[in-house]
Amino acid sequence: MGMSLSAQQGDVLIKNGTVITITDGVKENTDVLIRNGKIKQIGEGLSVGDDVKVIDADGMYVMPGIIDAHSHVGIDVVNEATAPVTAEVFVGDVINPYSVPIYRALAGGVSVSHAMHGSANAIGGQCETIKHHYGEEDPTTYQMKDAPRTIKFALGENPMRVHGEGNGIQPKTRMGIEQVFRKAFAEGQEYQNAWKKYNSGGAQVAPEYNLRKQTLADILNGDIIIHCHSYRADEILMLMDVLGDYGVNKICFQHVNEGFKVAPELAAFGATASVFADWWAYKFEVYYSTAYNAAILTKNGVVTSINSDSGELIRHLYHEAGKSQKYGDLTDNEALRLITLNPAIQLGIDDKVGSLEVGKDGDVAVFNNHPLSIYAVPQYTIVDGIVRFDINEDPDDMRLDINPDESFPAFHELNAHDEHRCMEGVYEFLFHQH
Amino acid sequence: MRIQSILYTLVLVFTVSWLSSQQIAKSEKGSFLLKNGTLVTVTNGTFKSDLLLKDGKIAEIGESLSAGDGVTVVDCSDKIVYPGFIDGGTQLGLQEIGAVSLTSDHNEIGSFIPHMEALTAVNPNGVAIPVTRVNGITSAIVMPTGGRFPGTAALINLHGYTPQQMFAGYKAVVMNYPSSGKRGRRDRRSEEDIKKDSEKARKELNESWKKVKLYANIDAASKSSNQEKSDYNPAMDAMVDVANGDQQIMIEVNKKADIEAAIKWVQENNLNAVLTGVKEGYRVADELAEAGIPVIVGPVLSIPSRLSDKYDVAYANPGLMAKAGVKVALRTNSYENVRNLPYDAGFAATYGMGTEEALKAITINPAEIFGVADQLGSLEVGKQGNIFVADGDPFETRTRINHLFIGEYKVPLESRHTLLYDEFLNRDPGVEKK
Amino acid sequence: MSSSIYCQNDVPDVTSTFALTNANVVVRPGSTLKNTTVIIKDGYIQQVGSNLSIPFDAEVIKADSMFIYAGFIAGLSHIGLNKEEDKTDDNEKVKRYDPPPAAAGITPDVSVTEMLDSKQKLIEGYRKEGFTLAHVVPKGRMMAGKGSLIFLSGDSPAEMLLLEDMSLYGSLLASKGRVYPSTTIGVMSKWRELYKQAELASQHEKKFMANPKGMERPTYDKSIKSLYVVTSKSIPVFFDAPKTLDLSRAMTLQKELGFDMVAANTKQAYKTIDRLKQNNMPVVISLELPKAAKDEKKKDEKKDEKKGDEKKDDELEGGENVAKIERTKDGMKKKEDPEMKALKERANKSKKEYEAQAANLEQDGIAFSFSVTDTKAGDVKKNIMRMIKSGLSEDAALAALTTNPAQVLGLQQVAGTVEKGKFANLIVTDTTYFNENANIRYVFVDGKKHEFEVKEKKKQKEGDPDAVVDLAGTWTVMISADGMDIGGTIEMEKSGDDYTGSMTTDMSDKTEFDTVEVDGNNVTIKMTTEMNGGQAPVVVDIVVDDEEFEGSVNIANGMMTADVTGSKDPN
Repeated sequence: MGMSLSAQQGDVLIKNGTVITITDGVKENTDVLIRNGKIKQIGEGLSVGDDVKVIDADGMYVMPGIIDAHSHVGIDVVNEATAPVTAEVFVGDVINPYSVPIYRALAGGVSVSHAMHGSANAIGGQCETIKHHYGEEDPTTYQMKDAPRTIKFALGENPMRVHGEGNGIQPKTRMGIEQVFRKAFAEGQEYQNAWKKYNSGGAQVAPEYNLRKQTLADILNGDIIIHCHSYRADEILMLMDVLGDYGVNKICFQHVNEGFKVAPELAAFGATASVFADWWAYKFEVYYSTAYNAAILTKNGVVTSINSDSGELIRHLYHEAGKSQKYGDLTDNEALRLITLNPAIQLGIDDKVGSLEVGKDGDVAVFNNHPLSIYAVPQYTIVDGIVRFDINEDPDDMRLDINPDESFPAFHELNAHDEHRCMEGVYEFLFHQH
Repeated sequence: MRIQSILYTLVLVFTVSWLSSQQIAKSEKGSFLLKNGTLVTVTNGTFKSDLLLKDGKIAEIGESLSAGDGVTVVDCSDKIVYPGFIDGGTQLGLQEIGAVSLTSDHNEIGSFIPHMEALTAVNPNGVAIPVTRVNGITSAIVMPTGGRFPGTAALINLHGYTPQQMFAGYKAVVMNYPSSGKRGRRDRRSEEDIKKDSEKARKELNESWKKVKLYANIDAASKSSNQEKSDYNPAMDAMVDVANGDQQIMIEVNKKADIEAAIKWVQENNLNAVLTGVKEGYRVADELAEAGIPVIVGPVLSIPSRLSDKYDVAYANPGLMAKAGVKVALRTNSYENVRNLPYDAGFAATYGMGTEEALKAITINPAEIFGVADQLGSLEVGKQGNIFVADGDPFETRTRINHLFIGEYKVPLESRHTLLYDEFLNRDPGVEKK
Repeated sequence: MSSSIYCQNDVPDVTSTFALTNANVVVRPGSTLKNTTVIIKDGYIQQVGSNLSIPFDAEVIKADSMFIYAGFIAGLSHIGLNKEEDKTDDNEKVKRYDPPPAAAGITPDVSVTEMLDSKQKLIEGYRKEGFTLAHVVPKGRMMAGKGSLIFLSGDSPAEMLLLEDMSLYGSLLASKGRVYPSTTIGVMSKWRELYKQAELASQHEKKFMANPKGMERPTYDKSIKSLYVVTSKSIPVFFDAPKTLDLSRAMTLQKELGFDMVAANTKQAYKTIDRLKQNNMPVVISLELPKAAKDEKKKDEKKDEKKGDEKKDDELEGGENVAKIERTKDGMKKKEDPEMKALKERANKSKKEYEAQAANLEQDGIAFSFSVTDTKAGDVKKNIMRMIKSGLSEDAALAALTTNPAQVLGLQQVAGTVEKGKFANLIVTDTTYFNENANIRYVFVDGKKHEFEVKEKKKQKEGDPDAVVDLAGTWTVMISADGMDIGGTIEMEKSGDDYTGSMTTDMSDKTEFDTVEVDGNNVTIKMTTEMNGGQAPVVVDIVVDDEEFEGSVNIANGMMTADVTGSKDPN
C-alpha cells in the first residue's frame, strides 16, 4: 500500500450520462473515457475492453470534480500565529492522509482542494493544492503535481486581533497592515538584491540565508499566487495598490465579502475572487455583506468561485453554488463554473482540471440529479481516474488510522463553526472566530 | 401581474432613495385575496384554489373567491402558496454580530437561570430578521444558551416593532442535559475525566431537581392555603409550571447515552418535554418513538459527531427518526442564516425523509409541538396569515419567493442583502481611470 | 576499578576476574554454545570456550544450565540524566516572533555529558532488566542536543561516559511556550533554515580561516556552530518519529537537506517500510506498546448473571451504553450492539498492529534496535514478550537488544556479542531469557558484577470478580521487600459507591489515596508519594479475602516492588 510516490492513475468509462463539460455545453447520453488518469475521449457509444471499470451513468449527471479554493481539510496545522509574517512555513508539510474530512469532501463531489494556512497573519504560510486520493497513506501522493505555489495573506480583523490586540505588536489597524506588506516586500527585494550581488561575484561572503525573505522575493518574482483573506472594500483597494507598486498581479481575494463594492476595480486589476455563498454577520467587517456577492462580481467581469473554508460546507459546494441562482440569477453554467473552472483558474491549474475536456485530468463527479438541485446526491467521485468515492461501497467506518488507546471514537458536541479552522491554533485569550 | 410589477418597482425606487438609512420599506397592512395559486396546505393536500386573507387570518379557501371592499388581489397564477416556515431553534434577534460579544444576548452568566426571558431581549430591528423572512420563514423559536437552565425560549413571528408584537404565544424553559461527550474538537479531557465530569453534573442536576419539586409543592401549598411565600425566588418560580407538567421544557441533548438518560429522567419526573439537537437520535429512534417525546433536530447541514460515523448521518437523522414514528421538527440553530431552513429541510428530504415529511417538519410539526397549531403551521381557515408565495419548490435554490404575508401585513421582500445588490450591481461611478 | 583507600566502611573489591562456568553461551543471536565458560578480566572478555583453565584470581560462578547473553544496549534513552533535563527556556517575557533559541527548543549545543548523574534511579532500573550500555539523549524540543554513549554503571559521570556527542537528537516538537516556531510547519521550515545557515556559516568560517584579509568575519552563533557536525555528516540525527506521519515528515526533511538520519522511537514504522528501505535508514523502534486488549468475552459472560448496579454492567470505558437488552423466552439477555462491536474490533486490530511492528520489520528484512525513552523499565520484558507473541522471532528480538544497536551506534567492535576482546557486558539468566519466568541472576557492566536475588513469586491468588468485599475499616499491613519488612496501617472509608482512605507506614507519612478501584475482590489502590524530592506513583494491587488481603506494591512505575499482606482490625 502506498508504494509509489505518485498516486496510481486509473481507467474508467462513465457511460450514458448527461455530461456537463463547463466549456463545451451540456451533452446528453454521452460517455466519458478516462485512461491512465486522463480524459481520453468524450463521445457517444464509446467501448472499452474488460480491463476498464464501467460506471453506468444512465439518468445521471456527470460534471468535473468540484474544486474548493479555500479549505483546511486534511492538514494537521492551520496557523503558525507567532509572527505577523510567516511566509516560509508550508502547510504541505503537514498533510494528513488519514483525515476523515477528506473522505467526507469526496462524498460531496470534491476532488481537489486548496489546503491553506489560516488567517492569523498578514502574510501567512504557503498553501498546497491537493488531490483527494483518500486511501493512499503516503502524504506525498496528495500533492497535485505541477500546481503553482500559492501563499496566504490576510487583511482586517484577524491579523489585527492576533498581533495587535494579542501580542501588542503591529498591525493593530488597517493602516498598520498596509505597512507590514510594504516592509515585507522591501525586505524581500533587499534580500534578493544581496544574493544577486553575491552570485554575480560582487560580494565575498554570502548573505545570511533567510527562508522567509527568500519566499517574499519569490512572491515579488511572480512565482507564487497570493490568496488574500479580505473583507472590507478599502482594504481590498489598499492591497491592490501595494501590489501595483511592486509589480505583483497574481492575486485571488478570498471571502472578499465586500468585493461587490469594488467589483469594477477588481476586474480592472485582473484580481479574482473566492467567496462564501451566504456567510455574513459573524464579524463586524462582514456585517454589510450580501449573498448576492458572487453574482455581482461575476456580472462585473471578475473570475469568481465559491469556497467552503469549512469541513462542513465542503460537502455540499454544489448546493452552495446553487444559491447564486437564488441570489442573482446566475445561469446553470455560470453557477457550476463557480466550483469548477473558476477555482481552477485561481489556483493556476485550469490547464489540468476544472472542465471535462480531452487531455485534462480524469477528475469527475457523478450525481443522481442535476447538481444544482437540492435533491442531488453524489454517487461517484473520481480522482485521476480512480473511484475514490462510491456511494454503493461506503463502509460504516471510513477511518484509516485507528488510535489504539481509544476504545471507540469519542462523541463531539460540534457546533456549526467548529469545522471552520481559519483561526485554529490562535491562543485562548483571543476570540475563536473566523 | 403588470400592476404588481409596477407597484414592486415603485417600492424599489422608494427603497433606493432611502438607502442612506438602509431601512426596509414599510409593510402594507390589509386584506389580500391570493388568486389562482396552487395551495400546499400541508394538512389537507395540495390543490389549485384561491385563498382569502382577512384581518390577518385565513378567512376562506375556495375556488373563484371574490375580493370585496378593501381587499387587494394578488395574482398567484403559476405560483405555489405555502404556510410560512417555522424554525424550531435559533438565536435570531439575540445576536447581531458573532465576534462582538456585546451584541450577543442569549448567554447570561449563571447556570440555573430559567427566568431569563429570551423574548424581551429580542431586537425587533435586528438586521437578520428581514434577511430571514424573505426566504419564507415567518416564525422562529428564539433560545437562550449556556449553563444548565439558561432561560426561557419563545416563539416569535418575524414581523413587528416590539417583542410583544412579535410574540407568537409559546414559551418553554430551556435545559442543557449534562453531556458525556467531548465538547468540541478542542476538548482535550481524557475519557476518565469526561466520565467524572458528567457523573458529577448528573448528580448536581438531580439535587437541583429535588429542590425544584420541593418548591413546586411549597408553591402549590402557599396558593391553596393563601399564605405568602417568604423569599423572592424568580428562578424557582420559573420552574413551577414545568415541574407540574403544565409548561413544556426544551431539553438539549445529543449523545446516544445521554438521550437515553434524558428520556428516563423526563419520564421519572413526568415532564412535558421536547428534546432538541438530538444528533444521535437515529441511534435511539425506537426508544424515542415509544416514549412519545417529540424532537427538534438540526442543523441538518452539520458534520457527523463521530469520526467513525457515515458521512451523511446528520442528513439522514431526521428521516430515520420520522420513519420510526417520532414527531420531528427542524431547526437551524443559527442567528444569521436562519434563512437556510428550507435547505436543511431539503437535505433531510433527499436523504430519506421525503419532501412531505420534511415539509411537515418545518410547518405543522413544530406548530403542534409548540401548542400553536390552531394558529400556525398549515393553510387552514381560521389560522394566522403567515404565508408565502413562490414560483416553485421552496427547497430548491433557484426558486423565487414572490410574496410574503405575516398576519395582517404584506411584507416587502427586502433586506440588507437585496438593497446592497440593488446599489452595487451596476455601480455608478464605476472604476476610476488612473 | 575504583578503590577508595580513605573510605574504611566499604568492603573493598577483591578481584576483577570472573569465570562463568559451564553455561549456555548465546554468542550472538542464532549461535549458542553449550557447556561453555566465559572468562572476563579488567572489563574485557578474555576467553570464551569449553575446558578452559580458570585463572587463579577468578571469582568462579557456577553457571550450569544458565544462559549468558551479551549485555543489552538501549538504542535511544534518557537514562542517567539528572533532573534539569529539559533546557528549553519558558520565559514568558520573550518576544513571541523572535525568541532566543533556547525558548524555541533550538538547543543543539546542549550536550548530555553535562547532565549525567551516576546515582540516577533509571540506571539501576534498566540494569536490572539487562541493559549495560545506553545511547543517552537530552530531553528537549526540535533540536534537543547531542547524545552520548554510557555504561550503565560507574560512580561518576566520567566513569559512565563511553563516547560523547555522537548524535543529534531531533524531533518535530514545537516550542513549549507560545513562541516561534509553535507548530509543526514552523518547526519544519526552521529546520530547513538552520541547516542551510549552518552549511553557509561553515563554508564562511573555512574561507575566513584560510584568508581573513578584508573579509567580513563570521558571527558567532552557538546553535548554528553546533550543527556543523551534522551538516558535514560527522554525526547522525536520531529523529524522533513515533507515528507514521512524523516519520514521513522527518524523511521529507532528510531528503531535502541530506543529513544522516536514524528513524528513532517509531511505533508504526511498518507503514513506511518501502521508504526506509529505499534510504537504507536505520530504525530504532519504541519498546512502548499500547495497553493490551482486555479479554472481553469472559467478562461479558460472567456479568450476564450478575445482579446489581446495571449501569456499571452496561458501561465500558468512556461511559458508553454498550449492550442492548433483548427480551427472550428465558428472560433478559444482553445483546452486543453490532456497531459498537465493530468499533471495538477495529481498536483491537490497531493494538495488534502496533504489537506486530517489530515482527513486520523483521519479515521485511529491516534490522532495528529499541528505544526506551517512553518505556518503563518494568515493562521491557513484558513488551518484548508481547512482540514475540505477535510474530517477532527470539533471534530478532535478541539482535534488537544487542548486535543491531551495536551496529547503529558504531560499537560493533566492542559490544553486542559474547566474544573475546569485547566489553565484559553480560547477562546471566537462570533459563532462556525468552521464558516468561526467567530471572536475571547477574548483570556484568564494564566488568563489574551486579547480582540479583530471585524473587519468590508468591502465587498470586486469582481474584474473583463476583465476590463482594467490605473494605471499610482499619487494616494493619506488612510490606516486604528485599528482606526488609515495613509495617503500616490503612484506613478505609466508604462514601456512596466509592472508597476513600489513606496509608501510613513506618517509613512514610500519611498518604491519601488518589483512587480505589474495586472489581469483585480485586482491589487496586493508587496514591502518590514523595520520593527523592519528587512525586512517585504507588500502586497497591491486592486480593481481599474477607478480613485478610495479600498482593503487591509497585512504586515509581516498577522502580521498586514489594509484597504486601494485611488484616483488618476487629471493630
